[in-house]
Amino acid sequence: MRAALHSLRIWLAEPRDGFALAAFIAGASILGIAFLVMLCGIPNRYRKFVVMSVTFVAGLFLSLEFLLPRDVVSAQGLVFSIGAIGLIISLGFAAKSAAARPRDIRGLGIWLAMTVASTAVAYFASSLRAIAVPLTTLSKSLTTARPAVGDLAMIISSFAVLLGILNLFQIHGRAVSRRTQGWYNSAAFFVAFFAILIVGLVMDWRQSQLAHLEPGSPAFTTVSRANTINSNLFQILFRGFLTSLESTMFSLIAFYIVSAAYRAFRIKSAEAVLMMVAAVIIMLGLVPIGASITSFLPESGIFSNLRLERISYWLLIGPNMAVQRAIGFGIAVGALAMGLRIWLSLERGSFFDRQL
Amino acid sequence: MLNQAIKTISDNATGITIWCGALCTFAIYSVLYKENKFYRLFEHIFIGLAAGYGVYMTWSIVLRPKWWEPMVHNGQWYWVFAAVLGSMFYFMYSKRHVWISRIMFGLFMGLAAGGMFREFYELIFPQLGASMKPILNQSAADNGVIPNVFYTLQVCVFYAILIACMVYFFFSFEHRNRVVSSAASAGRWFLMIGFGAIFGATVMGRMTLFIGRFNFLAQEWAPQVSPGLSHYWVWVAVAAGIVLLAVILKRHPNSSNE
Amino acid sequence: MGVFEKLQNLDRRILYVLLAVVVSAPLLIRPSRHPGIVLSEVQSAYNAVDRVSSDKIAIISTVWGAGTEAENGPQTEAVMRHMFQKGIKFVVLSWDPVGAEITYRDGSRIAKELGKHYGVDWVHLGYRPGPIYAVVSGMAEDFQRVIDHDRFNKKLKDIPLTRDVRSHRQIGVVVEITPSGTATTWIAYFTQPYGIPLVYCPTAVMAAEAYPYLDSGQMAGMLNGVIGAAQYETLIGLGNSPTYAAAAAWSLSAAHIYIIALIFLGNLGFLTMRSRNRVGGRAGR
Repeated sequence: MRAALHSLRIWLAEPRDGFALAAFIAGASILGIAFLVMLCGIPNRYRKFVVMSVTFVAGLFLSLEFLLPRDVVSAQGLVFSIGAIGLIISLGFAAKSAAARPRDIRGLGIWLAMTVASTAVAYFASSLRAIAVPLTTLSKSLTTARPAVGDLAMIISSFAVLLGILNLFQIHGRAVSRRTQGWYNSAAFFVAFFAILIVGLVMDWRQSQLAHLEPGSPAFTTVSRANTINSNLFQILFRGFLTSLESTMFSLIAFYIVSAAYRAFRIKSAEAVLMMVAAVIIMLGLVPIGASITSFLPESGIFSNLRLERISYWLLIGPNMAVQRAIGFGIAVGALAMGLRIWLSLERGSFFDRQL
Repeated sequence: MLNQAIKTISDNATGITIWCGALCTFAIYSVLYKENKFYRLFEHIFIGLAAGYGVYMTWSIVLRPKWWEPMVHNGQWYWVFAAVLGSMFYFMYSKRHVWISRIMFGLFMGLAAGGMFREFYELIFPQLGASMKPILNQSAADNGVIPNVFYTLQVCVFYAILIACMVYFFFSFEHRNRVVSSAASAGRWFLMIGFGAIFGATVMGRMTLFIGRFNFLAQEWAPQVSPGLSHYWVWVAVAAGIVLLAVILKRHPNSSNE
Repeated sequence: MGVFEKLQNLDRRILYVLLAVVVSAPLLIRPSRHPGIVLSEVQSAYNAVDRVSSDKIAIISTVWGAGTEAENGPQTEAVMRHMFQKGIKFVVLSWDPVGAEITYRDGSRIAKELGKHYGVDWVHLGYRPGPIYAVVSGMAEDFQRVIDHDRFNKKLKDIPLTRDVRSHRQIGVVVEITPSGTATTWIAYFTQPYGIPLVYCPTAVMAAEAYPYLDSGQMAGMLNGVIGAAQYETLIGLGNSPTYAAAAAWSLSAAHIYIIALIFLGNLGFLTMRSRNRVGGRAGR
């Protein structure tokens, strides 16, 4: 049976070409479509379970890969630790039982027996290589599989690139077809989208053509000339339009900061004063002019600590570092809790509670 | 004629690129005066270009070499299943079967959530260790020198700020105890220092983006405008335009002044 | 209408024009004088890159695009120049499609200037769409499989520089140049588990949050925005060159003084008007 499965696996993984390849691709496509049809047929009451299971199994991969031990000694330690946790829980309940009902000898006896039993099981289980070795093997297999999973995740997530594009096409397509106000802007969107896409794809095609042509041949010269023209057109679209527009859009924020600094930043409390003082010291200390302002102070000695750039630097590596660390701890604990809730599908909210 | 036009554009690509860049810059900056059609047009062009470029790069760098070529040219037919899985994202547009897209989103969210143990351990445990700073400067004490007072003060300040800020963020219980409420109040004050640092850094960061854009106009576009003359004259002209604009604004003070 | 009332109602467009005037002078004059001070985290970043041994390569991971080119571009350029000067072989990995093109163009320009060759001294791995944690964690174990090809779709095993790069063992340093918080992914999956130094080059907005990681040693050094780039240029011997980073540092000085003046004026006007209203209110009773 094992040999048959192995042979089947080798036969399936064997690269194909020509008609066989087309047949296998067609067959796999049909299988894929059948899978999707089957998914569509799953009753409502099982859908949430399917989503939860996929989420849990996906999370299990990286969790186990990290949590499982890599060597036998650590694995044995892990098994013993699990037993020790059982022991502590039993002892705790024993103590609680003794405190609540001191005369209940039978109850106390049961808990103490469980304590001894869990200690014995933990010691015995941890000494068994039959438990420790599979754990380490699993851990190593998961680590070996990490590159393949990373690769696959990158490829599958790339298929989602059209999600946002389809939405944009719907909105702008509607504007153009109905000739709503400003429809020419939507037309410009389509022109820009297809212009850079087509020019880019043609550029790739020409470059792949060049790779197969003999340098110096007439065909190579013709394609090379066409490729140069195409590359220049691409540069106009990319460098002249796209990067200029993107960087200019981001730079607008500078002007809004200027407007906000003059109109919105009102110091109405003592805390706001502290915040502004810290901000002003750091803003001046980071730039060359800050050093110039207190350049009259000596560069060494006790008074050198009053130089603006040193006060600014001390604020960054001292109080600011402590504050950011405290914030970081809070965020990390929150992120861990949130991650657990998502992994175990405990999260609630509009996306998670939507009727399936 | 079209071929000739394309060839001419291609031969002058560098100059055209810079002029297009300047045109785009002024088009976007025109919104600072007031909302206008010029800005809207170039905004839509930007969205189209960004979307088209994203699709092109995803195909060219990822899908073609890692999915299409192995499947079609190297005979690895099983890559079809990757497309099947990828197509599940698009069930988002189906009202009846939208749940199928949630399988894929759940897959990636689960994958990310599964990494949180490692992230928590690798990011936070070293920080916990680094937070345990010795109060005394050990190397100075070993040498028989009086412990560095400033170092000790700095460590005490660090501990005070760290603990006060962490107490502030403990929302699980009410701050009834006087010590706890005082610590939380002090934490709020210390947080202002951190926020001031972030604010100062934000101003610096955002200003730099504008400086970068202005640098393009000054160092790349201006020489294109007047290659024979000193490009400072361009800025004299720009300054004159700005003064004229200010005069116009003074005469029409109600122009979009929110 | 009093002076303060007029100032409070000042057209914001005049403020915009004044900003342009304030930042323009250093960019036109182009001073060659770099910031005189080099912060210790910049020096540490320089040392971390400088110490990469000859049998290892560096990874320059760029997450930035055209939007933050003004800050991250000079950082990328300074680090690339240092690596070329020192003969440290490196690969550039980009997580933004626009940034991939820009970093390749910049790398080609600097390589040509310094007489370096693509494929031997440096390689550009092109754009990767992510998810970053999956790609980075996979790279640590099997670099060739996950990355597979460069931006020209040439297999890594066919490129002299990357032929022998298999996993984290052949990586000497990671330089993360980013406008977002992606450095934690590198720390969690690549640099911290395997003890590889990480040099962090954020935009100024993200820099304040990085100091805890510098303190704990999880980051080997940091370049704080364009100021950090200017300081790094000083260390690599460009201290007297009229670079963009040096001019930007002086423009920033002017801009910061302007912002502080605006905050001061705005609050002065606000407080004056508030006290006048209070006095007027009391008088009216």
